[in-house]
Amino acid sequence: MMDELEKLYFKLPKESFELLLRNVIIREELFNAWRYFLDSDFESLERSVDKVFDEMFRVFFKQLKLFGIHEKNTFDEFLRSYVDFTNSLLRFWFSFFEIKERNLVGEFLEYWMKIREKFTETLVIGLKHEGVLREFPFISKDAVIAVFRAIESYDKFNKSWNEYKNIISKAWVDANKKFVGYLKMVESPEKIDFKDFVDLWMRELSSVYDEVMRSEKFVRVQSEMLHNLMDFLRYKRTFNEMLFNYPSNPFALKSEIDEAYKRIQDLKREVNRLNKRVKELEHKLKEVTSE
Amino acid sequence: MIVEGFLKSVKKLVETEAKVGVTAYEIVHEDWLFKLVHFKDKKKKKLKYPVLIVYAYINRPYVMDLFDEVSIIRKELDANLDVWMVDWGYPKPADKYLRIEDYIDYIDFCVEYIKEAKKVDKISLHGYCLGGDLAIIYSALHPENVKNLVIQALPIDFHTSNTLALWARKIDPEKITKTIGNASGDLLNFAFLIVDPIRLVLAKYQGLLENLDNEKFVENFIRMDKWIFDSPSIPAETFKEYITEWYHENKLIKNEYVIKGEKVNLRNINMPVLVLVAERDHISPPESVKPFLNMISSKDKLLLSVNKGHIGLSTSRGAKEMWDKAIAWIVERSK
Repeated sequence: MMDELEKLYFKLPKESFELLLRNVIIREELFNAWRYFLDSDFESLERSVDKVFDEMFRVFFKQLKLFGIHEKNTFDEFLRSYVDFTNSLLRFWFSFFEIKERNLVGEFLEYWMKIREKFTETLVIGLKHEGVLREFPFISKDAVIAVFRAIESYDKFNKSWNEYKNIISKAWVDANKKFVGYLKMVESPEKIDFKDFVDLWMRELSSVYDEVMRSEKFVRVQSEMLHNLMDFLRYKRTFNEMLFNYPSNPFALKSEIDEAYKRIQDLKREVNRLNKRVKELEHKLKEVTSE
Repeated sequence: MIVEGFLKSVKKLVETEAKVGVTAYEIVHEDWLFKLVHFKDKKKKKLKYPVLIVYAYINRPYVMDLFDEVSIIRKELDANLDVWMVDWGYPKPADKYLRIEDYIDYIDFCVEYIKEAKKVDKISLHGYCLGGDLAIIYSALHPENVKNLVIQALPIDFHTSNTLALWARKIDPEKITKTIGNASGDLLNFAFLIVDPIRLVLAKYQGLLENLDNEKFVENFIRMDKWIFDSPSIPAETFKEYITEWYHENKLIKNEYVIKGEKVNLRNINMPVLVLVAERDHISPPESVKPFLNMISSKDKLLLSVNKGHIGLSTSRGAKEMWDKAIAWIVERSK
């Protein structure tokens, strides 16, 4: 059985595979909900459809959650591994010369991680402390500002993310209240088979979500959430690039690679333009020589 | 019970053949990312004027060749049309600075290539969705090169009230592309699903589970899903440009769109034009293309519609009647 599921995973797009498996679980819950309906057990019916919400919207929420809850932990891991990396590089080099040298980058990062263990407010106060800028003069003002902006954006993202989830879950609750209200009025439940039950339910949900997805509030909150997330990621990248922006770093920064891409594309356009011009001239030459 | 029933059907799902892109073709030119392809056909005698299919830069072009029974490519070949197509490829981070002018330049290259190969002075363009917008731009800039213009399921007036257009008008594409670079396939898939979560995440897959015993249903479902989630990225500059200048500022229909310093004036479109519309299109609703017919100077123009959605226009057996008329229209003007 697992072999077949594995083969199915490789056959279908990853999204299809996930959505299909989730819908199998959803269908099981819907079947239970329909049985509760037949028994007029509306409380259990509502509990079943609530489980469907989690199963269905996790497809969307988990992608956005990646930038929220787990971000702090992965970033700390990144910092720790980078400190180890810079320390080991320095130890290697200076073992040839028996010189003891300060690892300014590593020291800053250890100081930074100590501050991060406290709350956000303390983090901001810690950074604003003059000592940070005096002790680590190689940190540019832009980088410090980027950190402040990243924290602000992260806060805003979390607020709009919660509002976004609330709008979607409220729509679910409203739609299902209407649906259950309708079911309570059905005189002969046994005449509604499972397929009809599912079709009726989805029709109710669709009509509510069609309105919600285009409502002014949802569109505004979705845009705000997306923009705040983009700001957070961009400011974080600015700060991360600072960590790598020193002479002995052998790695190219993303902004440097982007600049190279831009120049290549501009050159390609120029080459295409010249190729076209050469062809036109060849064509004109052909016409003239054939005359 | 449901889970057990499904697990018994997994083997059937695995064994279902669901090939896509059924017509053989040859790649005749490659330009790093873009490709020009020529569809192969055993018939030697072709109609005089070739057709260049200009697909969109969202999703992949084999939706027009999904399977034999509905393949538009096949229909055109069977009608003795000489069919070519631009394949925009899968943009990488290195392609982030591609602009719409680069797409138009490559269309121009393809048109000149085909003109020379086939010894004709013009060719027909067949644009799909945003590829239709590219075809319109090219036809307005170079009407002398275009024999017939066929456009399907495209928006040209972007200020419509469908949900996707409302969303696009509220996003800041500069902020997005400055952060993530190209608009990734995953982001696009996310947006296209959440715009209608009940139908596209629930109803669609519940429909599959309801029809697991129907071999044809399952085959077509797998084909469609392969295509739906096969999403190339949109280059960052292209994404920024078309969201800002088309969705936000609606420059195309207002004749204000400029490419390489030249204004795109729809009145320059004077060749025969055929517009194909899906009446239940939630991505490019009919009202987003109907005004176009009043903006052009073509005398020979026709609009055909079918009661299908955006994708169904190209993949539904129910669109056969419309396609028979459309192909007949193209054939008549390709001799």
